[in-house]
Amino acid sequence: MQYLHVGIGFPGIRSYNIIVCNTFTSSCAKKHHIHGLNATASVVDKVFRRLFALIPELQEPFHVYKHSHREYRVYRYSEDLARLINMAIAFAYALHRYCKYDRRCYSRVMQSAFNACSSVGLCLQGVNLWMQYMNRVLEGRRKAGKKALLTRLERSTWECLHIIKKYFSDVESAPTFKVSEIGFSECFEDAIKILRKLFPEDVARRYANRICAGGNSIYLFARGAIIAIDARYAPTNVKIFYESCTDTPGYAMVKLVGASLVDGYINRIDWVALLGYDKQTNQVFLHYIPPTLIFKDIERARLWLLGLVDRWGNMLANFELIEA
Amino acid sequence: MFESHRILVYRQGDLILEKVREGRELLQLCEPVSDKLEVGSESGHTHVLNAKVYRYANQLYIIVEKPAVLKHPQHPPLNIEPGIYAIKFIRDWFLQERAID
Repeated sequence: MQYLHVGIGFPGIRSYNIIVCNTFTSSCAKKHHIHGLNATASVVDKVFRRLFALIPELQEPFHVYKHSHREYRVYRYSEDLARLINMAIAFAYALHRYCKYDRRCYSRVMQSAFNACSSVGLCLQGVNLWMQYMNRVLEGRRKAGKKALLTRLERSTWECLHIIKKYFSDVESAPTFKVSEIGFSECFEDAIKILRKLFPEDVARRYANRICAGGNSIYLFARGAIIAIDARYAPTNVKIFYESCTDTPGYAMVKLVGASLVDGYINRIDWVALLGYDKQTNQVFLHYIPPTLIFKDIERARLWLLGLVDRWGNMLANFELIEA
Repeated sequence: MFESHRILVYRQGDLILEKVREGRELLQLCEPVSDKLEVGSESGHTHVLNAKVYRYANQLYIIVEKPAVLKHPQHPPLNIEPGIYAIKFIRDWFLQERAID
């Protein structure tokens, strides 16, 4: 006979520990607590408390004991009960994404989902229906977000084309060097051979290390001319967008965004960089910046290069910048 | 909010001079490096400034005793007011340690 041990953490340590054991005694939690399923979010706590209050089967545990900082309630194992507990955790996380900061939404959805919780079987049906609905809505939101991101970057790319054509005409036809996709060492060896021609040894090593450590993208480098290094080890559609641009008397600059596309939508932002042209020295430069600055003002992003703002674009100090 | 004290920052190409508030107490801990600042840039040219250079914990500092001019063949000269400055360079997200910002 199997038993389901549901360990409930004290308020403030809202950690649930769920274990299936052959014994109903506390030795189960003592021996197997690391193999159990853990859920810690406070929204899980909300959902579980409601479940325990509503379902008769959960109100009368077979045995109760305390271990560590939890009170364990032991129930006779049934497929439905185990499924409900698992589904409740998934439901709680989906609910959190669905309702976000709307408190009324939490209670409204839980009330509706648990309305039919007069037994485990009926409760499963109600929760399952809401799960399906929430997942549909969340998928729709995800797609809408990806589409909005793509539209925004496509529009800004179009708007910056004139700066690209004027100052960086070779960026779209930059020679691309493919590095080995077998493993890190092979990729590193290939990349450093190319980067050594552009940068000092330590800089080349650090760039090579960074792009080969699981980047799976195409990276740009500029030193006189612009080159690209293709460090993809799996098929990925990488596209480079221009997020914003500026043309001042001293320099022209474009914020580049390297993104991986899946099914025509942006799936991941791989990197963000500033590509610039110094009009005084007649030099092209490219520096990578934190991805958190992707939608920050391009001038703010430039200040990050100077160490004057943090990676969120917040000023680190009250400064007066004098440039030449 | 920031204090009313403003930090003076000069930039010439990829070289950054940031005025420090610690003052001369800091220099007592530093070891002297040279009597003139000469920093090579990516183009092969050199940034030059008449100022004593010190080092403390892998950080270079300069002391500018009187108004001086930071020179570089490809950039306009930059007038530097007296003070103690930390020497920094343009940074790159791929080249720095992740934990540091």
